[in-house]
Amino acid sequence: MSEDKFRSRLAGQVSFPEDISSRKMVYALQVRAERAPGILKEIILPRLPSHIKFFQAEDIPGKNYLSYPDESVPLLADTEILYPGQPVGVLTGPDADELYSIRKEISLEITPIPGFPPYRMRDSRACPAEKVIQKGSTLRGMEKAETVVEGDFSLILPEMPVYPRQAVYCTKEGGTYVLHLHSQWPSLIRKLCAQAAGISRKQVEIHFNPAGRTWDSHVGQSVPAAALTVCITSILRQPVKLIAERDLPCRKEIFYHYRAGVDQSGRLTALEAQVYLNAGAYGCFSSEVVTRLALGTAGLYQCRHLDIRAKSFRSNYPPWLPLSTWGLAQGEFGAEMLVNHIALETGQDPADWRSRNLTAKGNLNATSGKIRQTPPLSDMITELSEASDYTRKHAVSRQIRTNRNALSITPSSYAGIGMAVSRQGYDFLSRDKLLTAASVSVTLQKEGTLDVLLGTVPATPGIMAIWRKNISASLSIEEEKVNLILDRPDEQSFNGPSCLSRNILVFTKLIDQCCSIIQKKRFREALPITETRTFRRRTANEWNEEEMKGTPFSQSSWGCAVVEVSLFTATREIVIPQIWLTINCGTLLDPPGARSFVESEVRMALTHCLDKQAIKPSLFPKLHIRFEEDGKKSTQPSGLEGLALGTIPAAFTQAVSQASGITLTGLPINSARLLSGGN
Amino acid sequence: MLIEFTLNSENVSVDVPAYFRLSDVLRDEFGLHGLRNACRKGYCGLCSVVLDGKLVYSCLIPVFQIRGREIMTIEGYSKTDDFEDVYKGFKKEGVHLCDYCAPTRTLTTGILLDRYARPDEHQLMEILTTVTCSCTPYETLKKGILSAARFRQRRLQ
Repeated sequence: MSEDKFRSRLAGQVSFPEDISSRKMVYALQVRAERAPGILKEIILPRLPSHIKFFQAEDIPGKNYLSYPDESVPLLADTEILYPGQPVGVLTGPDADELYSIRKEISLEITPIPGFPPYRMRDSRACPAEKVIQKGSTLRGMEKAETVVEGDFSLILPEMPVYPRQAVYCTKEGGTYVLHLHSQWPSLIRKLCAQAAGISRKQVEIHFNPAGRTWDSHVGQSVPAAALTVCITSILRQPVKLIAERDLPCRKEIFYHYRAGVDQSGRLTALEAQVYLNAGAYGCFSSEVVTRLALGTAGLYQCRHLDIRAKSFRSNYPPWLPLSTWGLAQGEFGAEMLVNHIALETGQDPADWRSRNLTAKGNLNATSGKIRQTPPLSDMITELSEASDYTRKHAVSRQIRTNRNALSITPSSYAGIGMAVSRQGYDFLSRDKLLTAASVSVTLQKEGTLDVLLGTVPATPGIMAIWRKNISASLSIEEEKVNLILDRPDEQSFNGPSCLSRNILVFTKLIDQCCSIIQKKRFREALPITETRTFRRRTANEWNEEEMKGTPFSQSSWGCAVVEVSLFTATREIVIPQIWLTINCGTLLDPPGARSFVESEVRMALTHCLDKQAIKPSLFPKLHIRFEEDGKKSTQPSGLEGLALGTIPAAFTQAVSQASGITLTGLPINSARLLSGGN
Repeated sequence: MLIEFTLNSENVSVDVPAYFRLSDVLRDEFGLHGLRNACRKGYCGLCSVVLDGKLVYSCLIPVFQIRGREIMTIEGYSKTDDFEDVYKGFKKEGVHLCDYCAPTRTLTTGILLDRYARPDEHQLMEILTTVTCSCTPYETLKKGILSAARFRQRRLQ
């Protein structure tokens, strides 16, 4: 990074959409329905001054819906209101305060209608996606079982504050609509904005600030705001700034019910599990999330007889689109809690149980695909157990908990320790092009500069530096001459979202491929030389999503975590002194960046656990992160996302259960919940 | 309500309702966009400014409280020699902050280094705690802060 750029960044001279304004600009404020579900009969407006305008569904110049994978969502509701806070109109005017006061005077006439049935009623009309993994016969498996373990878990994910907020600024320059916003998926924004405003995709130009880590998989978050802003700009032909508002309260909840058969030696003979995911009012992206949820719930352990059913269900809450890691880590929470339950029931050390029951080379995975390489988890568990002294600490805490009543002095705090493992795969399992598309175009210009046209959003400056360095090394071009271009609508094809470590896994590979071909052509063909590479989706033979058969991920990363917890006896205050985390993610391209990424994911996992919006560094546990690399040149990077999120919540719940003596069946946990009995 | 105060060493006045947040007034009335209006609850620390030499979260301060007082934001701080120390320290240790938190992180680091010339582990934690952003690992940030502290000491000697 140049000195000037670095200096201006530190001095706060970088503009964000909320900082931009212009002379003719108008503000836009969404008008939302307060009650739901219902049928919108009428919007009763006060007398509006001439400089204030109100737009509703019928004023949208293009299509009044956003077509996401699986389901479309109306941009502005015209008849059916499905959740409180659903937008029904937009007010525009030169003064933001005036818009707020007019909005208070607007009333809606809504006729109530029945809401969606609760998930327990299993009404198929309220189920946008269902995925089933079946292997063997669970009936036969249960017959072989010595013990049957049964239970329920729930995972309620708290609202994460999203920074930067979703302000959008749009201006029309010639025939082009220039949008300033934050996003993880600019291609989708361009497509849906064009659809809503009835214009061509090439007329939408995006100047985006990288969304950063806190945006975690909020891939569709900025789309409705962007589409509305472009529509209003096209009607008013004036610059428009949509005012960012507080996020609507979603209901991010997942319920698990499981029944597992265990034989005399503690091995799993059969596993039946039902998982229900609250998708909100619209089931967009459900199919991909539910598939990954089912795979996560099936776990990483040997079991011949499986019956896993994962469903999403509709509810009258805002749709919340994909969650972090698109469901795989959340599925693993259920699997790891079950493993702990089995180990406790059969009186075994959970670390030992895991090591003995993990799948290995030659076994079939849950979806009947053959495992070609033994996962490194067993060694990781052994190393981590030694580093954290897990076995001894677990046994001691268990002993103290069992003999609690016999202690003559009540200790000021009880300790607990938990362990969990995780596997993350970063391929999209759906064959929807919208998600999987990725392409890179590299041009070596006559002047010796290299233009790299990317369709992704780099979440950290580190990855841009790595790409520049790699290109410079492979083509012997100075780093300053490498231009990484992130938005050029005329030449750019559609690209999937920047999540699931796709920057590292897909784009790094495509850039390498382009560079090596340019290197071959370089002194043989006339300049400029352009090379384009596109990501190839896997065939249905390798992975069949409809039947849930085959090998779901071409490449996996592995993680194992141990969480130590202290629980104060009087106040039930939870303190996490230490977390150990071992990660195997192939070759590390950017070690400090990887560490930062894991740190931030640990922080996010702890917000899930403790129901807090932020974990301050002073409360942050001592973190022992170890990256395992085999040192082979042939090993590819395999992504980092979700490994902390897949392990820490389950390990934390186990640790708190052990320290409190209460069998906890869900997250989040806080002192008040523990004082009132835990569940 | 007319409020007069000193902003980045200049005497200024503003006529706004007394209950307005200081962060809103600084951004909207004075165009100082280096401070971010992110959580508005005092969690994130991205709206930190210096009020009479002390760091405060401006989203939690009603504007009537600043009458006759002195405020410094990153825009004013970036013209000082102290800013140069933090800049050099972060640059030397490769502290790649994100665009969003960089200005506030720089300001809080510089101001807390006024108080702790050679910060120990506990004091480093206090400096880190002021802003909650996960763009940079704590270890790298700590190195950057210590390096800034050394540049500052060298200049003052």
